[in-house]
Amino acid sequence: MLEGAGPVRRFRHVTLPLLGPTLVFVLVIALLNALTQADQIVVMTDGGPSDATNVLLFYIYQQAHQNNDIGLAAAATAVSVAVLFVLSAGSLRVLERGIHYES
Amino acid sequence: MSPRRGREIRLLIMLALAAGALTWAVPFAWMLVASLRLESASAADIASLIPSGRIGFGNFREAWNEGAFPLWYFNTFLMCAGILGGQCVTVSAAGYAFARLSFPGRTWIFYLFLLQLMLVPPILIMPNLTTIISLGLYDKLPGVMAPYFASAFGTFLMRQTFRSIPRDYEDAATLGGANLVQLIRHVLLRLVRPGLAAFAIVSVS
Repeated sequence: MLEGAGPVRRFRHVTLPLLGPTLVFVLVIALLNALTQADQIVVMTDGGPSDATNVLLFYIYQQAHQNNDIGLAAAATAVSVAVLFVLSAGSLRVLERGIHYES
Repeated sequence: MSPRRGREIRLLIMLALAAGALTWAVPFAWMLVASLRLESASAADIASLIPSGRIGFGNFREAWNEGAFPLWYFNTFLMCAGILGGQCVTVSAAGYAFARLSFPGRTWIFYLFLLQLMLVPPILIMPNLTTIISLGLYDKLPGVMAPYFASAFGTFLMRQTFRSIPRDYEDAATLGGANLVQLIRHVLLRLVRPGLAAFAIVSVS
């Protein structure tokens, strides 16, 4: 304020950097949440028409409980967890490089 | 912008917000109306917000007499308090360790810790059950709580909270002659209270 920063610059250069740690938390949690959702598919579309709205998690459920292919489902689960791990560890690394920690 | 125009814009914003709030309130109104409907009506009537048949509190009376609600609420309270108490201890300790202590592999152990967030909870039902049984906690209240004592979500949240606290506070306390326990109790735990409160709200609901 004293140095003449307007509300936009104050938010951009002071508030946002101080929110960094919290934003990283929210981003990673939101990413993981978004990728581990299947309820809407179950309730609304069942993955159809012809798999157009399918997601990985629901695909795993289909393989295990509709096609009774437990092996394929387990393999898909392992792959999906590995992908999630790489995704979240990667995004954490990238994000933490860009933010400011007080310590 | 003239004050009149400002008022108009504010009114428009209020109207838009009210419309949004109303949309979100409809399911709750629906629930309330359905609970007041006396005779179990046809499916078409269930879907309407305005009940056509008789309404009253009969359903509530019946439900209350049907089950042991006081006991169930007491158990829920015990479970909630037990889980939350356990979680607060583990979560702030683990968050502190990941934020402040330096040990080999800290980053990667933390990433592995986050794996819990990537698994859909139902996957853990069987492993949790076998662990509970081998701990001899099966069919006991602590056994219901135990799987929730650690939380990756909370640990992550507390790690971020601890990291946003300037180290100067700790240096000042150390200079003032505080030992580690005093430092954690009187300085750090006070400063991370907002984080713990946020976690508590999410954890209970």
